[in-house]
Amino acid sequence: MTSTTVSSRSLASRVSAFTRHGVAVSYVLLVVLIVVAVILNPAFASWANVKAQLQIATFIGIIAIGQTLVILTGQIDLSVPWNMTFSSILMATLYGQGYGFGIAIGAALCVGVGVGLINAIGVAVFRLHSLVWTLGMNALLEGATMVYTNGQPPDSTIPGVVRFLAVGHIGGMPVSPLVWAFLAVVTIVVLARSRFGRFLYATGNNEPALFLSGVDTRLVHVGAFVASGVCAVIGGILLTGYASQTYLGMGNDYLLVPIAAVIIGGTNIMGGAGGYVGTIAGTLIVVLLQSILSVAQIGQAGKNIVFGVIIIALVLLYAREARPTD
Amino acid sequence: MNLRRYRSSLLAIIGLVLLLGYYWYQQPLILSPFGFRLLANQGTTLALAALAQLTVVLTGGVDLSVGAIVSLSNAIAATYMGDSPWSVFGVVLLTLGAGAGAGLVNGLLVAYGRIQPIIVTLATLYIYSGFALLIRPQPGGSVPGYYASTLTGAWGWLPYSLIVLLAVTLAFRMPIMRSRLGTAIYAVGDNPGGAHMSGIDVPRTLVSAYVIGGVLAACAGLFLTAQTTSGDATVGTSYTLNSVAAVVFGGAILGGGRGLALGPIVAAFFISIIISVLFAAGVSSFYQSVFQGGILILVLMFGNAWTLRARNRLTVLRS
Repeated sequence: MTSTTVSSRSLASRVSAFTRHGVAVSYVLLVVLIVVAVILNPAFASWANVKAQLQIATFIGIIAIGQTLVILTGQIDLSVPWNMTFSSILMATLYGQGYGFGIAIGAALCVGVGVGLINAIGVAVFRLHSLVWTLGMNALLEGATMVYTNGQPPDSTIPGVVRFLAVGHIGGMPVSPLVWAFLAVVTIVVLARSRFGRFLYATGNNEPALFLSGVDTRLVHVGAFVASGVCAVIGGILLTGYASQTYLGMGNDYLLVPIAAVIIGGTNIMGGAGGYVGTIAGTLIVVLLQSILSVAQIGQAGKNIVFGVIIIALVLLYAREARPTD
Repeated sequence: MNLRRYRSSLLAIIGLVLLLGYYWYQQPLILSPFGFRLLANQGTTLALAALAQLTVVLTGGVDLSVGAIVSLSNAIAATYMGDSPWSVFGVVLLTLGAGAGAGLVNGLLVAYGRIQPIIVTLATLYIYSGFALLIRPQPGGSVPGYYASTLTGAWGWLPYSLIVLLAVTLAFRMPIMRSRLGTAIYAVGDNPGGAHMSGIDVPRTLVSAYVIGGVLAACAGLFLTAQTTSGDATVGTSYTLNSVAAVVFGGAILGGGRGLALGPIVAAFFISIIISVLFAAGVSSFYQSVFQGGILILVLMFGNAWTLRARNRLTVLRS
């Protein structure tokens, strides 16, 4: 896992051209998938179905926000599953014990910020590989959840506000995709316009260079990982509202799928190139794909295989590395 | 023999010795043929999986599909093995072949597809676990009793599992790693450009490393099948994380080029046995993950504590 150094301008522009290409390809694929889905089953285009798909996409899309920021810096956050499980269970049980809505949600968000901070300390201060460090964090959080719940399915009470955010409607429009849309716009603006956004890309491209230009790159990692921790918590809370329960292992399906969405959306897994615009397409592709495979009555085994093959095919299309001999 | 070479394994060795000492203090019975066999059986699967992971990590990659290959091997072995010695022999070969094939696909995609190892193996993790599910949709299946006892039994104080592990390490892996190919694997992990300039066929070396990794992961799956005597398409999931942890704890560098087999093997036993030790010490099983994650995190921090003392952050950033 060596870091790619962008040595010359031509290479830099080529890399960015590639990424634009990747984003374009992912949107083309999205359109193709939608057409295929509608041909397979015309009811697919019904508003009820679109709403249902968007609702499922919301959890993946919001978690993928954090994952996009972390991957842009050249790292990865594998602590998402038990971070969202632990924080959601904490929120639901605290609320059930009679604490206010604000305290319950606040405690969950604090968990997300804390997990992000610890992740960032390991990666930025101790310079440990995020792949191992965040996996260790994930195991630690799994343990924390088991200790907190005694391994029993938690007794959860879901606040009304959470139910509303997850499954409510405003004038026929489901609320949760609106939440996602709002967070997506904020993310895209931050990535494109803010200094922090630029630092994220710069960290992924060449961290020593960014450090030499006087930026404390540790804070960039803190920003990315805390954002990822908080996004995982928000995703978990919305999932809790959607399922109207919390359960052990509720986060297990939300580790690899958002990462796949980020990669399919054309963000370079080694960092430095890509963005959330592509991840949106990637998220919708992943959700559509899962739903098409379900409609075609392909079992879990077939789903896994098709999913893996598609990730590889897409990456072969637009995310190959340069030859070492070039 | 140059003992200095093994300094990177020292942390894992000290850890295992302390752990076993404490375990013995808690549960003196482990120092019996039976207890010894139990200890040896517990760590062997992970030790084999860690060897698989190490081979790939040495090239500078990482293999997230190790767990899926373990599951796939377990599914194949427990589903098709039958009862006659010939069918057992055939299915063992078939399983090893499947592992080699899985490694070959990983290697070809990494070397000639020029895709990051982490993406390749993330995708093939899905694919291989999909195949495992196809072969074994529900847990079940069986292996003949003599297959299980041949691998997990013991002859007095000598557990067969240790013989299996030694045989795989010394008769399969060591000759390869001491050969020209082995040197090439270290060279490619250390500096791919330099290896290329020295006339090493980098893509071919990468493919070979992933194939060796696949075969070793299949060995882990075969041993696991002897332990569980049944098939389950998700049984290998935890081996991905734990094999990476064992490799790092065992002193290998997750950027390639450095690492010996001894450290990861010892670390694999440490990680596998610690659960029983906690259980024997009366710690509630709910704390298992806390300890596992916590120990991994502490070990990692300890290993990289020098970054706190470094005067110049640039050297830290470039490390």
